[in-house]
Amino acid sequence: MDYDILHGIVIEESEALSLSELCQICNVEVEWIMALVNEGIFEPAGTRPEDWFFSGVALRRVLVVRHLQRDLDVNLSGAALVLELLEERNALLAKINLY
Amino acid sequence: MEYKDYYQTIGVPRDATQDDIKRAYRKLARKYHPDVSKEPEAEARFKEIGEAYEVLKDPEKRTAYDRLGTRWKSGQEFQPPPGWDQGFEFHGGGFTEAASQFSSFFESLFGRNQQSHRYRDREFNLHGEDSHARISIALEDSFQGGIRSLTLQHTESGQDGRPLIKERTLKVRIPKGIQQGQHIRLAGQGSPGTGGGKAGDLYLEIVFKPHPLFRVEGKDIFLDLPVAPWEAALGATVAIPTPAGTVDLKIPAGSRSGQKLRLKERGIPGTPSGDLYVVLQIVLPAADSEQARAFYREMEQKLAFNPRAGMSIR
Repeated sequence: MDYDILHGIVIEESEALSLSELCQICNVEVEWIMALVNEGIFEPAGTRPEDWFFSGVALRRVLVVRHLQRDLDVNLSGAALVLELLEERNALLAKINLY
Repeated sequence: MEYKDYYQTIGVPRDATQDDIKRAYRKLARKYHPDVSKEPEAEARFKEIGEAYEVLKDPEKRTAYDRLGTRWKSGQEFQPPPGWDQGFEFHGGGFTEAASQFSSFFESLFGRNQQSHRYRDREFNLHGEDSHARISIALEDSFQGGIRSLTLQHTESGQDGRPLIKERTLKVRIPKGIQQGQHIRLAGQGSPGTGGGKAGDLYLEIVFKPHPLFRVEGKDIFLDLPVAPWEAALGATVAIPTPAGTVDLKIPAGSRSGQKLRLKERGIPGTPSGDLYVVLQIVLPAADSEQARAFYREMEQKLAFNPRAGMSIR
């Protein structure tokens, strides 16, 4: 049954995402992504928003921040803090093998 | 369908105030939030809590739910009594965004989230929404590549307008060398488009299942390797497991516990591949026989060994 096997693209390896692609993927507004950039949650490559490019890490962070805001009413700077602490915790947990 | 005790889910008594309910919900939501929690089953728990709160936070829905009475037990087979909701008018709009995933118990009482999809921009009116899911794979899948099946649930309107939970199974090719946290885009597997528009894409986030032997950091893999004191002291060649199969590892003489040996490019494949780090753990033989105890006593007498030499104890 080879015909129904889906072949996908690994986002992190094949391409950088433009601002509008990132918005489309995450179902969010352009302005909201700009607020995340202003908060320093991730840094796009490129100078002006028209030629911004985002990595796969940005994609993951956008999704986590969106969930935190929607589910826990966390504001942007709070979400940025949670994100940093989460990444730190996950790295430490991986180190002590409790992951 | 099964009765759900929403008060039990949130962990409050039936006469709790709205403030109590909110406080209890917030605490649980932080504990089980799928992006934050490391609790097992966090995602399922988070959904249950969200559903319970959806009802209890809204005085209208809570009153209606309370009218079912207290004789029901959680998990018991349940049919709503005829006419149970007479005299209630639900004002709608009380559904949060998460309401699409609620149980059939919830939907039998309160109906279903009828809110239409909001579109980000008029330009994309015909374009189906992109959707997101997680897929957990074994570490070995990333080494070999392979095909994994994934079952996704979504709701559809049936012929009579009632919501139906449909399942579909996708077979997905896992590319060799994929890492934890990366996303696979499956074009056209998101929500269907409307009016002949293109379907959205499905984004799969890769999660590695915990492995009994290896832990992963990015592309690198770590293995704790137990070694005997004489192997560490004298050096040895031992067979060790790697995700790609067994290999021989040379342990240099004079190795210490906690020492890391790097096997270049034996980590997750790629260009370049990650490395495999073997962390030596010296394990002592148990002194559980007279012979073993005699060996230890002999070492004590014959080796001038003070493990605390650096501590300047007098």
